[in-house]
Amino acid sequence: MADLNPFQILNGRLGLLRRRTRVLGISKLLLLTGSGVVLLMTLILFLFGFYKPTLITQHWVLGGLIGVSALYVLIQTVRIFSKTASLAEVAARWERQQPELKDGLIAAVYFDEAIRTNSLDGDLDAARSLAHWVVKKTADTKPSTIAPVTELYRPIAVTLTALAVMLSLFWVYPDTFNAALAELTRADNGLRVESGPLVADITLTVDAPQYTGATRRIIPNSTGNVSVFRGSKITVHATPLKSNAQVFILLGDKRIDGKSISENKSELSMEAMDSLDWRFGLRTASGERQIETQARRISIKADKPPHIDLVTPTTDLELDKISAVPIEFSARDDFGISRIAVRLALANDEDNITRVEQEGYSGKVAKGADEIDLNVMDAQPGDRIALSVEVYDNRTIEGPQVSVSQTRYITVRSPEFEHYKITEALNALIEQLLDALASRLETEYQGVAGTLLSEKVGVLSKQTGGALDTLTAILERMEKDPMSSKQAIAGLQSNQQKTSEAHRAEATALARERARTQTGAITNPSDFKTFNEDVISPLEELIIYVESVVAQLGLADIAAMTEEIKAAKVRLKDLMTAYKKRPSDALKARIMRNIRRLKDRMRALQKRMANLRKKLPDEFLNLDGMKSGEVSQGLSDTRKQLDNLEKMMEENRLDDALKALDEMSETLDQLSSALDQDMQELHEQTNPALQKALSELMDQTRDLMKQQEELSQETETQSKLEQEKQAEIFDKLFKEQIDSLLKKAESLKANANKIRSGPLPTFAEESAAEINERVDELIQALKNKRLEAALRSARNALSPLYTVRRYSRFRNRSSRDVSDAANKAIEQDEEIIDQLDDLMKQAQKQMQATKQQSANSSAREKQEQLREAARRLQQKMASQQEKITGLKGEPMQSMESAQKSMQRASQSLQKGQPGHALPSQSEAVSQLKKLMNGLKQASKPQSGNKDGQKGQRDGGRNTKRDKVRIPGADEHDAPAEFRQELMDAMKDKAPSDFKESVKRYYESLVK
Amino acid sequence: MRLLTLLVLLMGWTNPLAKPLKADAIHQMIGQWQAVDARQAIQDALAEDPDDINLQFAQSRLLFFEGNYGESLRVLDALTKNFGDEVPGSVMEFRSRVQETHNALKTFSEHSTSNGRFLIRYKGRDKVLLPYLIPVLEEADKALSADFGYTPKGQVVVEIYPEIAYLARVSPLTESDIETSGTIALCKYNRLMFTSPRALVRGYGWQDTVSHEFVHYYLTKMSKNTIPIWLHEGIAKFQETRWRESPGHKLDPPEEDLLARSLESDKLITFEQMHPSMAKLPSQEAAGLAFAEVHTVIDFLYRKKGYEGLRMLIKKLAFGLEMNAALRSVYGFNLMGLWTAWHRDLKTRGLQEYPGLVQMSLEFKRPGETTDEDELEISYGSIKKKQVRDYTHLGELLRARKRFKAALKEYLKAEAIAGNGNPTVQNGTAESLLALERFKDVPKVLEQVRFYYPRYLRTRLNLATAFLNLEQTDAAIVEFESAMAINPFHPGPHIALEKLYLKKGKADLAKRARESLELLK
Repeated sequence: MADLNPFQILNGRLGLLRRRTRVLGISKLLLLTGSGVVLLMTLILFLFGFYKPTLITQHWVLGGLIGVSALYVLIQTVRIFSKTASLAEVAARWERQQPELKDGLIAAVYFDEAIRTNSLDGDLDAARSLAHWVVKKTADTKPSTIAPVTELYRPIAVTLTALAVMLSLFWVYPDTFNAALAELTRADNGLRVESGPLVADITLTVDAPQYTGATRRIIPNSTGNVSVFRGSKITVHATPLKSNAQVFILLGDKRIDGKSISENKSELSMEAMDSLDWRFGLRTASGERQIETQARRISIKADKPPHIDLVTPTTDLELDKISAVPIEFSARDDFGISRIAVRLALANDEDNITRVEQEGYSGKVAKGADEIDLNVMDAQPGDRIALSVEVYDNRTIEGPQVSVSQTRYITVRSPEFEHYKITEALNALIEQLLDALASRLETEYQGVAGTLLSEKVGVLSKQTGGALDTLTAILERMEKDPMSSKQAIAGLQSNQQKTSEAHRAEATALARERARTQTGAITNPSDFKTFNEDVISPLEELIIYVESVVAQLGLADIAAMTEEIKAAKVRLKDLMTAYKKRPSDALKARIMRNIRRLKDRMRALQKRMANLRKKLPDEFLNLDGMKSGEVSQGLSDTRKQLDNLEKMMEENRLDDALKALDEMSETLDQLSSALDQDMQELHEQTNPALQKALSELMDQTRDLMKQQEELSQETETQSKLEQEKQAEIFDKLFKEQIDSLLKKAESLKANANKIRSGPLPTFAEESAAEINERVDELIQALKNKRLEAALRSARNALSPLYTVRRYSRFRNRSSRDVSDAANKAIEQDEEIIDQLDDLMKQAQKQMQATKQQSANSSAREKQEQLREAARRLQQKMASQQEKITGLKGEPMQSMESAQKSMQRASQSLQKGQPGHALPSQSEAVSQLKKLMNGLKQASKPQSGNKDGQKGQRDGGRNTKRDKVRIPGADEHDAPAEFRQELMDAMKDKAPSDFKESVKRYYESLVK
Repeated sequence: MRLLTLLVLLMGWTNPLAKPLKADAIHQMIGQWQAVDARQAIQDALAEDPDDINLQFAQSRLLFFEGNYGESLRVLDALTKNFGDEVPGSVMEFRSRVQETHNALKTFSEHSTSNGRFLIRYKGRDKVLLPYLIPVLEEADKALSADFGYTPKGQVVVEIYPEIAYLARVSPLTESDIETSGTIALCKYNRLMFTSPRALVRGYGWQDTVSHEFVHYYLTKMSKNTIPIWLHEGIAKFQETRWRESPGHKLDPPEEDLLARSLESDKLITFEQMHPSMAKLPSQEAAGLAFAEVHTVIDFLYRKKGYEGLRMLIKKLAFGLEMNAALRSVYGFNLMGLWTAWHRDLKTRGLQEYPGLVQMSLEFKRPGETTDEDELEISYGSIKKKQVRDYTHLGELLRARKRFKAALKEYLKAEAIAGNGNPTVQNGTAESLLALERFKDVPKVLEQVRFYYPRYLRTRLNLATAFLNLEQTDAAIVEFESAMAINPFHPGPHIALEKLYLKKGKADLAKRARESLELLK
């Protein structure tokens, strides 16, 4: 500042004053002009309220006013600026306010100008000293003193007054102003805004929509402001205030014309859909349309959405099986309920809803209950279902409103849940057992004080006991669990028993020791060390076994899940095929739901697989399928395929979807195969002792079977030889006697023919025919040297012969011949029977003699040895059946049957009847084969019985995992036992209907 | 073999075209891996006749044999473009080999040794092998040059493959061949190829393996690719440790055990059965036996006439003599005589069977298998008896739960049945002892398995840890270095070695260890 010369200082001060002068000047200008404009505008509008020039005129007048005002402001602004442009003018103003400067300031401004333009005609120093003097004089004077703000007070007062005048006029003549403003702002649509009412005597009749149940409401002398339900019909009656004028209503942008119902009454009607303003208008006789300034209001009353509560179930549910779920609900609505439906959907697919309609609900409040069968949505075990109830009100305008209750989740438990929990419990048990084992292994027995040792042993005992109790609890659960393998349970029980015995021995000894010594101390640590070691060993075995069971269960579970997925896939294919034939939204929704369900299962399967891979002991990780990731890969592929399938279905690419489903089948088959292989490997690795024992049993069975087959062949050869020998003996020794019998038989045949030719009563004809048949059989048997058959036929012929004789006695003379023939025939037949009897005895004696010479005794010995071997094998199996659960049942029965058959064969051989021994021997072989299959089956990993659940899950479709057994080459023969039965049955008399057939059969045999 | 067939076919195809002799000679040189000579020859020939199709093909072959796959492919493509359908199928077959190799290796990095003798190709973390690989190659080069009196000309291309799949892609072997026979390295197409130890679950003795392949490289060049597989493998096996020790390397116990048992049961693999490749033998055990046999055959020949005899034999074979004639002229017996003499000699050598020794197979990592390098897989595959396996498994379970004392007892039970020769059991015991800080007991526990399975990583690491805690620095260094020679991707040895080397004042080695560790991060 010190560097500034006085002129500059003065210039600065004058500059400030100039700025302030300009600001104040413009402010005054704006305030005063604004006040003038306000007053004039108010006046003009007021005038427009009475005298209505055209809209254009109005716009011109008002526009002109604003334009002139703006021009005035502009001119005045320029003036203010020009007046203050020269510092001399500003200095003059200053001088006016501070006269003691005596024009010094003005002079300083001139001097400064002259100095700057080099035109100072005088003493520069004098000028500077003057300036210094002025600076000094003006130092205490501020520009705000020269141009104070008080200058604005008056213009502000004027402005306020103008505003007050305007507001007063607006307040006093609102209609006039409203009309004027409405007129001013209206579109040029030919309507003229009137400040006053155009109609009087307004009556509103409100007809609410029917669903509301509200009655007609008539509002006389209405202001036009009314509150109604949406969709209400409002009928307006009004009297126009001008004659010959037609009334109309402006409802928003819509014009509704009224009709005259009497000379001075008009009727108009409108539908209230939304809250809005409306006005009356008139169409005068001259065609002018006028509109009221006053807006009347239609307000819409709220129709609240309905409300519904799901009363039951109160919480989420877990169901053991798919069953009906009882539900209760209560709903309400302010006007009424039109529909209630129960909604069911898979928890993760809540877009696909199955609705169960609840019929017969209406009114404002509804309470209901039902039992919802989950099968309606094709629920499956393992599903998590979202259940809720929806209610619709009865609104007819824009459709009903809907509300949904809270959702309850229903989990349909599948046996897997419990089963998986068992697996988890077994895993936890391993930890417990390992802890117990570690403690035992770490315990020192030597050099520990007796009481301390006693405490330690007590802790060990408790730890082991706790683990064993846990195992007991798990075993109980496993026994109830259909998916737990019996083999695993038996194995665990056996291991548990061993451990428990050792543990009990230790506990008993400890209790005894504590009782014996007053202090409870152990005096003989070495004894307890031995007890400990005795527990450790079975405990170790138990841990290893539990680990293998966990792994087996895991694999079995995965395999079961795979099967389940396969079954679900079949179901899906059925649905898709059905959809292809007859598409429907419901079916598509069902398909989509099934796909998502399948994806869910797949996710669960993958999760279990990952868990298993983590939990599977490393030694089992050489399972090819698991280790190479084949199984995981299979799962991952299937999931991808399902994604594609879902997409294809969404896009309605049905053929592609069906093709994709077939591809999925292949992947699933590969997955199953990899799992089967792993399970077998795991099983073999886990149970080498069992496999060895089974292998031994199989070897022995195979040997036994082979030997029995050889012996059968030997017996068959013998039997043939014997038959040939018999025939030879018959030919040699009994030829004459048989020939004589044959002659007698033929004579018998002649009499039989006589009998048949009659005359006979009708009811004896059948017997006559039978006589002939039997005699034919007799002759045939004698020709074939089958004495036993011949004897049987002869005996069988007796009964009908007696019948014929009995009936012929009561006939006339002509029937005497028949009676004679019958008597003769009876004599002949009895003679034949006696002779055949004798002959049989002789033959038997001869045969006996022959047989004694044969090799039957050697075969019998062999058979006896085999029977003994079978008995020993049976005993061995019996002793191992606790260990190898697969032996129980069918294999043991087969073994017993085989042994019995061998015994029968042996007896037949002892009697010298190799032919009779043959069927028994065949039966023995057949039973041994059965046993072999049973043993093979037992060597395979056994999973729990899942058929029950499977049936349920597959909707009755039984998808057993057993491979189809292809019969062996020799299995076309019926079992020996059956064949024997057949032979015996053949000896009996056939039913009459089949006589011819039987006859033909025997004839064919003979031929 | 395929290349020879290809050559023959090509000769037939190009016969009517100009200058067959020259091109054939070059092809032959390439077939005998005389790449340097072939390069000179082909340059001269192409200068004379640049449009000769056969020469162009030879050019592409040579480039491939020089390890320049991209360029080889370019030449082949130009060839097929110019000659279109006239190009025989065999050329296209060769092209697909080149293409496959190029595709497989195009992202590999390269490192040339300071003297330019070796060009090493590697990928990613295999760089960590370089400081340990280069000394092996250089030492082997020196020793083999001296032993054979011959040094192959030119640069040696060495390729390190991160997975066995690469070996299958760039060679005629299938992955199955590789897994069955345990082949992890090859010397083919004028270059050394080996699989990184990181591709195997427990690593392997990769340094000797590289050296082994290098011997093949020498032999192929020296013999002009004329010697049979048994001789090739025998000399390679006999010489593979020459980079680190004097000749006469003994068989490792597993090899000796295998040979002794096979000799006793008279189930040796004949020279004919070894043809065409050891990698084609039916199992890793068969391959192991074959290697043990040929090793002792060469040892037998070496004892007869030293390197001089072997050199003579190779030279005679290179000159085109039949094997019988060559053998007779050098050693005085033919092939049958050799078999008989060697067989007799073998019986007098007192080969030992080692009780409790189990034959270990190489375990390859599966694609996508990501085990941490410091996570040593417990393999029960070597335990045949269920009881031993159960005790060992219980030991592992208890050890995992930090019940070391209990685990130790289980391992000892396993040892009581299986003896002290099972690496899994013994290492379980050792690891329990280490956890119980009973360091002094560890060397004794592992003594037998260290002898039986010198390249079993877990043993080396456990011993090293014990020695480290016992403050036996030298012994610890030896074990850690042995571990490194099996699997340098395990960070533990690098960490320990850095400190141990510093303690011993070996700053260079400490630096190497630190740098390796950095690479592993």
